[in-house]
Amino acid sequence: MTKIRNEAIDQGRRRFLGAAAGAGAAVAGTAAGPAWGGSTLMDTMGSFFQDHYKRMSDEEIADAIGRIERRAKRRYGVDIICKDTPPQDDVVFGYALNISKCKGYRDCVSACVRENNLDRDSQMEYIRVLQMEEGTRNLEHSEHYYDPDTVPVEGKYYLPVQCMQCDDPPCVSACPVEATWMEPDGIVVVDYDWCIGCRYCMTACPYQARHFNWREPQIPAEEINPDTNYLGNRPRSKGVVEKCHFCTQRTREGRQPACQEACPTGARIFGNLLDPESEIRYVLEHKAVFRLKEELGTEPKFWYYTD
Amino acid sequence: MTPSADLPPPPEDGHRALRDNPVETSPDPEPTTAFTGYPDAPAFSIVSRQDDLSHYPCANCHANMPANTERRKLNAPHPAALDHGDGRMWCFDCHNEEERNKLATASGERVGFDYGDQVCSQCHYAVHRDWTFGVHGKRKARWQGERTSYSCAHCHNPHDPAVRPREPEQPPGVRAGLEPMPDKHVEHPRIYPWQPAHEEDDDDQNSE
Repeated sequence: MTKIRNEAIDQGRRRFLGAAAGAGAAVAGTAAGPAWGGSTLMDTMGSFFQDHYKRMSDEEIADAIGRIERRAKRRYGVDIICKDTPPQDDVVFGYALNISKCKGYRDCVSACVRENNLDRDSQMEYIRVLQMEEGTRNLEHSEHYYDPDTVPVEGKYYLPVQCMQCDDPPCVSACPVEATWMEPDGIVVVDYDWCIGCRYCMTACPYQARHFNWREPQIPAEEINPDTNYLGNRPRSKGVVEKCHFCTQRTREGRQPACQEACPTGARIFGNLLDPESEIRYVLEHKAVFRLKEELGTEPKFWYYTD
Repeated sequence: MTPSADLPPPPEDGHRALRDNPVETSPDPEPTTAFTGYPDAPAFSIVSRQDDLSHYPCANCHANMPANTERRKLNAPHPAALDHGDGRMWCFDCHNEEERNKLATASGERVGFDYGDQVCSQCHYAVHRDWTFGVHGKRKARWQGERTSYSCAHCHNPHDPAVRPREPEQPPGVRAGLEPMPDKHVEHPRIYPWQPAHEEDDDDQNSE
C-alpha cells in the first residue's frame, strides 16, 4: 500500500505489476491524495495499456503524447511540446566527420546534452570524443576523459564516436521486445515506453553508443528543451536505454542536428545520402573516407574523412 | 572645448568616424549568390558579415584620404600585426586601393567584403573548392533546402588566420553512484595473492 502511495508508478508496467501483484485491492483504495505520483488514474491506466509505437493508431499516439506532456509538467514543471514528426520521403540520413578538423573542443557533446534532455552530471552523453595517439587507430589506447588546459594537444588527434545508425544494426536484432528499430530515414530509434531495460542492445553495439538510465534523468527545469519528439528527445524514465537519434526533432524538419550546429570547426557534415547534390555525397565521392569497425559488417552510416 | 551634443559618443576604442554622414556605398549591385567558378557546384548564398564589421564602411574615413602605398605598420583601428603569409603580404594585396569599401583580387577585380572568398581562393584554391561544395566551413542552420554558408572570415581572422588552441568543454562526469575514475597510471592495490605484485611489494617480500 505505502509503496503504491509514495511512488510515481506511471513510469512503467514493471513497477506497476510488481506492486499491484501484492496489493491488488490497493487500486480502489488510493483514489484520493498523492497517489499515482500525482498522475490521474486515467493516465496511469493509459500508460499501462499503451501499445507499441508502430501498432498505435493516430488517436492512441495523440493520447500518449498528451500523457508525456502532462508527465513532464508534473516531473519538471515545464510545458513541453512533444511532436511525432514522420520521416521524410526519399531521405536516408548520413553523417561524415572530418578528423583533420576536429580539435576535441567537445562543443558537440554539451550541445547534445542540452538539446536532448540528457541526465546531467553522469556519463549519459551520446557523443564520446576519443583522444587518439597520432598515427594510430587503436581504440584501446584512446582516452575520452582528457582534460588539458587547451586542446588540441600536440601529437594527438580527436575521434568523436556516437551512434553510427548502422544499416544492419546489431542492437535491433538483439532487442527481445522490438523496442528499437530502424526508421525509413535510416535512424535507429527507441520506443522508451516499450523498452524493458534488459540492456542486450548495449552489449550488441560495437560502438558503446547505447546508454542506460540508471536513474530518472536529473535536469534543472530551466534547462529542459521543450521542443521534443516522440522517437527522440522526449523525457525518459529510469530503467530504459537511449541513444543518439540524429536529433529527429530537428532533422526531420530540415534543421541540422545539434552537434553539427554547435561544432565551431565545421568538421561535421550531415545530409541526405539519396541526394546526389548533397554535401555528404560530395564527401563520399571525393574524400578518403573510412568507417569505424567496418569489418563487423554492421554498415554504419557514419563516415570519417580527412582533408 | 566641449563636444557637440548631437555627435554620437565616441566608441570605446577611441576611434570615431571622421565624417558623420556615411559615404554612399558603391552603386555596383552585389551578387545574390556566390560566384564559384565550378560549373557543377550547387548554388548557395553566403551569410552576410559586412554590417557586423566594426568600422565598415571604410570610406567613412578613407574617402578623403589619399592612399599611402608605402609598406608600413598601421595604427588603431587597423590591426596592429598582420600574421598572414609570413610577412609577404600587406593591406593592398587584398584591399582595394581606390575604393575602400571593396576588396581587390590580383587581377584588379573589386569584390565586396561579403565575397572575400574570391580573394582568399587565389592562394587557398583547394580549400576554396571544398568550401564551394560545402565540405569545408559551416553551413547555416539547415541541412535541407537552399544552402547558406558562412564565409572564410567568419572563422578565420584574415589578419591572423590561424586557429588557436582553446579550453575544451567538461569531460564526461562520473556515473551516478560510482566513484570517480582513478588515474590510468595509478597502480591499484593488490587484492589477491596471485595477482602480479608491484615493484615496491617485491622489495618488501625480499626484506622479509
